[in-house]
Formats: sequence, structure tokens, C-alpha cells
Amino acid sequence: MWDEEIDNAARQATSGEPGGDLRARVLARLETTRRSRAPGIAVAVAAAAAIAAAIWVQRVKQVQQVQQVQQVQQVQQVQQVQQVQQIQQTQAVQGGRRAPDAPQVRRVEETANQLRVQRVGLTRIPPINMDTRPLSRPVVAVPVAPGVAAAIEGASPPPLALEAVHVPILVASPALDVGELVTSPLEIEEIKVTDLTGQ
Amino acid sequence: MSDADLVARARQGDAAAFGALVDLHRSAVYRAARAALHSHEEAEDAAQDAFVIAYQRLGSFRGEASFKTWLLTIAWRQAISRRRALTRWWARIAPANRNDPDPAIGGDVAHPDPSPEAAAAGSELGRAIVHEIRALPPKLRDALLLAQSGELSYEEIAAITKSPVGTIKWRVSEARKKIKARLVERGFSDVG
Repeated sequence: MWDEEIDNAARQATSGEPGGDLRARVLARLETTRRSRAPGIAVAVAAAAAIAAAIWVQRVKQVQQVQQVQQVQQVQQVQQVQQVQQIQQTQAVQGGRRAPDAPQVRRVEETANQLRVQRVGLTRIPPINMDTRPLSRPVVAVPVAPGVAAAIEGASPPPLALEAVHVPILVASPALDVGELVTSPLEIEEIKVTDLTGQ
Repeated sequence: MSDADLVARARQGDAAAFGALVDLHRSAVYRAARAALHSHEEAEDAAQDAFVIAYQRLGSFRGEASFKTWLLTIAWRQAISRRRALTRWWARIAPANRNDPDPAIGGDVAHPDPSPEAAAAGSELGRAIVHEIRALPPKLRDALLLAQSGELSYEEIAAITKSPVGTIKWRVSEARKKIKARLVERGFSDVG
């Protein structure tokens, strides 16, 4: 008896029908959704395209900047290498001595892609003035001797008359004269113990 | 024309074909929603939402289940989601009146006309049964109301609630048992 009453109550709880215009309302909503979606999709596509374009432009700018920086770095590196080579040439001309204010070139490393100069204290490159004009006359080897004027025969035009050529003579320093070594024992008179704490 | 044919035409943008599907399944969808929501207006809105969502997801319908089962699954989810929202809303606006009936399960405050079960509750016993149905745990109440909606088989109820058929049958039986026990506690006697 109660089962029938319960089922009847439950059945009536879900009874009823939707409105007769449910189909029309559903189709109207679908149409509205479709219309509202079309501009939305267009806007979304346009926004996506704009973002993509902005990203692309930004990338191109970044690549250009990187290329410019790399070019500047390469030019600077080439200049540095040239300067180092000039310094080395200058040092060779000056008899192997390094100019007092010449920079200290520590190491030059050549990698696969670029030439990198590692330097320490290379903050200022001194100006190098070298006369690179070609000589106006041929170079002739002139045998010279200390205090003897050089004379070159058969040279045309006549060579320069050298009155004297002074060549510094290296004189060995006198040997270090060490006298008799005297040793004496260490004498300790008193041992004082001091308390570091002051007591 | 079968559901499969109508679905195929609706997928190609044939609104009339989808309209025919709406007409074919409107009662089942509405009653499933009504089992969860109790309110006529809420159930109708949930049914409408379910049809719109179904149309938008027609591409994902693979025919593994019948179109009706697939559609009712969408409708049931919509109804449950709506019921949860209503329950949260009710808990928020009426925290001091916990004893008031939840409109999602039986308050029906928005409906000026008497609800269908109110008409059935002409007698004192009828009113008591309606009260006890509302007081059931949601899973038992859902199973009982879906089973008595007249539109769904136990297999379809099991499919849309993602529960085994045996579980659905047990819930329906358990719901009846609890209601009868409560009626006895309230002093009614089964004369049948």
C-alpha cells in the first residue's frame, strides 16, 4: 500500500511538461550564441594576429640589436688585436723592452667563432707614432766597430759618413765578495711570561 | 527519422533537425532535471541549457551510448550543478533559517502555483510522504525520483548518474524503506 503511495508521490514530483515554446527558445538561443560568437571569434583572431605581429616585430628588433652588438664587439676585438700587435711590434723595435705605460696583454684566445682578447689593466692604449714611410735609399749593412769610423765603398749614392758608432759594452759586475762567515750562539738571558689577560 | 539521422543532419548545421531532437526528448530531459531540482522553472532552464550545450557538443557525440542517454547525462549534470548553486545561495542568504525548506529540493518558493506533489498530498499521508521524500539523502531521493519519472530505465539512470544498475536499484529500495520507517515513526500504519 505504502509502496504505491510512495511511487505515486515520487511520480508526481517529476511530472509536468516543459513549456511548449522550449524548441523555439532553444533554437533562438543557439542563433544568438552563433551571432555573438562570430564577432567574438573575429576579435579573438584579430587580437591573436596582433599579438603575433607584435612578438615578431619585437623578435626582429632583438635580433637586429644582437647583430649590432656582435658587430661592434667584433670591430672592437679586431681593433684590440691590432693594437696588441702594434704594441708587440713597438716592443720589438725598442729592443724587447716594454714601454712603461704599455698595457699588459696576458692572453689571446681564439675560439671557433670569434677572437677574444682577455686582458688585465688594458684600460688605456697609448698612442703609437710610427714612421711607416718607405725608406728613400736602400739599406746597406755597415760593419762597425767601437770608436772606428765606418766607411762604405762602392755605395751609390755615397753612404753616410759615420764618424763614430758607440756601442755600449756590457761589463760584468765584479764578483760578490763574501767575507768570512762568523756564527755566534744565541744567548737567552731571561724568559718572561706575560699573562695576556693582564693578571 | 531516427535519432542518428537527426544528429547527423544537426551536425551539418540543420537547425530543424536539432529542433526535432528537442521535441523528441524534451519530456525526458525536463523530468530528469525536475528530479534534481523540484522547481518547474529551474528544471525548464536546466533543460534549455542542456539542449544548447548538447548542440554545441554534437561533434563529441560518438554514438557509444544512445543520443537520449548522452543528452540526459548532460541534462543531469546541468541540473545537479544548478541544484548545488541554489543550495549554496540558500545557505548564504538564509543562514539563520536552517529549518526552512531548501528551494533546490522542495521549497519551490518561486512557483506561485501548488506543486504537483502538493496536489497529490491531499491527505495527511500524502503530505507526510512528500515531506519524507524531501528529507531523504540526495542520492536516495534522486534514484527514487528518476526511477518514478516514467521516462528512464534503470540502465539509463545508471548511465547518467555514473553508478552501477544494482546500486540504483538498491537506492530506490532503500529510499522506500526509509520513507516507510519514518511513516511508522510518525504514527502511520500500513493498511495494505
